[in-house]
Amino acid sequence: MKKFKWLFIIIILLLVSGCWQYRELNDLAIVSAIGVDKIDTEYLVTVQVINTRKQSHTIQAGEETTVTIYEAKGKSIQEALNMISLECPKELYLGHIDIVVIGEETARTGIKDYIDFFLRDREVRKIYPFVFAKGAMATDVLKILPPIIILPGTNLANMIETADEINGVISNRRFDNVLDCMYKRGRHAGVTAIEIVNQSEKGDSLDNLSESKPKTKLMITGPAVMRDDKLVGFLNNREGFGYNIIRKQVKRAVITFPCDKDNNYGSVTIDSPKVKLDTKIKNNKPFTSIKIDIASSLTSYNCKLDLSKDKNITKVENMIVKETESIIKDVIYAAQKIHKTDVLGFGEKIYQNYYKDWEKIEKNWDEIFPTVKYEIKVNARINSIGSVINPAPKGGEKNDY
Amino acid sequence: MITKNKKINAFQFAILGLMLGNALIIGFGGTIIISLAKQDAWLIPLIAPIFALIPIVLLIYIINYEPDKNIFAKIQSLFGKYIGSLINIILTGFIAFVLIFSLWSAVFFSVAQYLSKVPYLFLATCFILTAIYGVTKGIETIARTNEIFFFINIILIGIIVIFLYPYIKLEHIQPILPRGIMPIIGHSVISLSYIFPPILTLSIIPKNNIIDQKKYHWYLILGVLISIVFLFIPFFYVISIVTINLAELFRYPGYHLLYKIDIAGIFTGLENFLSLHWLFSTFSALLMCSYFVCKYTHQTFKIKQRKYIIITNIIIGLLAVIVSDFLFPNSIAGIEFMQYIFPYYIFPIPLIIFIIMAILIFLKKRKNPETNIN
Repeated sequence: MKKFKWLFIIIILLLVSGCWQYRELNDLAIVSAIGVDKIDTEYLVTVQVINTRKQSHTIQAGEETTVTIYEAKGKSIQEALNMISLECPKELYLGHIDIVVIGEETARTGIKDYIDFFLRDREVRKIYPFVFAKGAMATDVLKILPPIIILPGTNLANMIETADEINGVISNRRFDNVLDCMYKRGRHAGVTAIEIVNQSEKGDSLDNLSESKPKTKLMITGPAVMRDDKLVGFLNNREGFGYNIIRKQVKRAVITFPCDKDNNYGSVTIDSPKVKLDTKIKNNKPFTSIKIDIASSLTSYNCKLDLSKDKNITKVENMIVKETESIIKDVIYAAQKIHKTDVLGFGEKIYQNYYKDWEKIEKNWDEIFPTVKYEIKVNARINSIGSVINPAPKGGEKNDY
Repeated sequence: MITKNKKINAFQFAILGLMLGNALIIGFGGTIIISLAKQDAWLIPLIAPIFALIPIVLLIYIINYEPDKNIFAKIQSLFGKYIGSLINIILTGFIAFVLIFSLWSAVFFSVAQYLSKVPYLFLATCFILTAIYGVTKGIETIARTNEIFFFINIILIGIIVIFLYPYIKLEHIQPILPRGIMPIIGHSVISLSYIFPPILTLSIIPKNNIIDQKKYHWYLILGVLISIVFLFIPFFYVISIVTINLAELFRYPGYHLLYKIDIAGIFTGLENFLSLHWLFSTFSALLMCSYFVCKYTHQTFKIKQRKYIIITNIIIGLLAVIVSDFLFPNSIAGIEFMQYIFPYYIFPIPLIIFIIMAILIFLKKRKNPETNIN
């Protein structure tokens, strides 16, 4: 019996300690970004594979790039990835995807058909940024070599993450967020969008990086607006900011407001404004109220005003209120009248708080949404006015207050 | 004579109840409950304890009867030799099914999330042989193993609760009870069919084998109720963080939830490590169900020699592996069976047996007040 016991232990040790699924890192092609475009009935899948031979984090002219792009077409994403394996010497590993990019035309035809792959695949973590390429194909976006962070996929993901932290125009819409919004009742999804600035042939070569001002760049823009699973349009940056305020996705942002009639402006930074969105049925019609509470710090003020007086601070606060209201009105106008799609979640609030009312209007919500009346109440406070009290005088000017 | 490794204390008994209560829910039971109760799934662990008290009291009532006997002997004494044997076969068959399902559930989860290329049969054999080893060592070893699992689980669940807390959005749990209270009460009753089957294996432990006999029933009630309330955490976190839309989409929504854990930007990708607590709970069920089935076999076939006991245990384990592979060829078959057949046609069988037993004990007690009931 003892012999059997030892034999059993040895067999188990041999089988288990070796890790059955062990794969050498050298045998894997680590994919940092995937792009999907639909051409006719086939998918063009572009993968950005990290060049593991490239050790240095700096690139010089004539050197090899940090990533290699592979492209293939297939009737499904999996088939296209299989086709890539015909030209890639290593097995594609999708566990470290930094970003997934979908071309604009492809997104307009609907994404339900091909997101299934990203959902179903066991290795793919579902929390990467999911972006639409505005006015471009995903393959073009992934070919651009960026400055500063040399891995393009990581660069894109970092751009979105940084902008999400400090710029209210952008919010990091991850794959799981987008999916959730797609299936939500009473709300459609907003998706992070990216565009190519000055698209040129140089963009995908190292020459693009040899200039202090790269000719071709990638830039994040206002979010894309979806209806069900289809892209219907894009919000501009101002509307994107309003969208993020309403959706409580602003972590830090700057509000710039006119402070006189001579095109002079002041700016404040705001941190996570408090927003209360509610939609209820009043007189058989939905009515939305948006309450926004902004705590801000004055960062620049280029108009003449004695900021040492409290009543003038109140004046500036009113300017912030007016500007914020205008931003919110712009995004509601864009959602209701231009795109006619409830990305703001007015309907979601009825669903969450007044379920019986929602059941009555759910079927017609897309037609009702553009007609929803609303009120905006903004309360702004300036908590800090920075290191100086009054605005810096212009050259040759004396302050007359 | 009761040997030392047959005795467990009340705390260990409660831990067994606690771990077993979670075993089937975590994994497939949770997915089924979410698909039934949808948005309100998080309310089920709050309502289910009310209904759970009935089977717990039933179980305690039966354990208290003839404290020196295990469930098989009690059934024989209550129903007579022939009917008793038949009932014992039915009850053991039920627990054998729970064993097979627990094994399949644990292996399927491991294959789906950790080791996608490892053959089912190999993994299942590894699991079952470990469980059989525990069974061979006796109930005290099983109880101690569960104690260790429990404390590890507390740490893992603690990490999950703390680091996922900032992601909770209460608006995701709204609307609350959109279809009224009745459906959720119905689903809470159904959920008992996933909570209780492994707990029924505790009836194999004679009361005399529990050290603190006077307070063990309070420990058990507390253990099972805590286990049900424990389920509140995954359900509430899944609904309020992952949201019901995605929870319905994923096979293991709780696993998807763990992707979000990021400890100070240093420790990320902890989902495989943190999800181990599911396996520990399922392994508890594997241990107790194997113990139940093995004990029945030894008792029925009067196997007393140690080497024959070990061989029988291994054969039972390997049979469970083969049958589980044959019974549920894919995850859909398993979920469909557990959702549409198990709660309505399979789970009531042991429940009816226990109710009849309780009635017979009650009648016996009335007829002869000196019957050995503590």
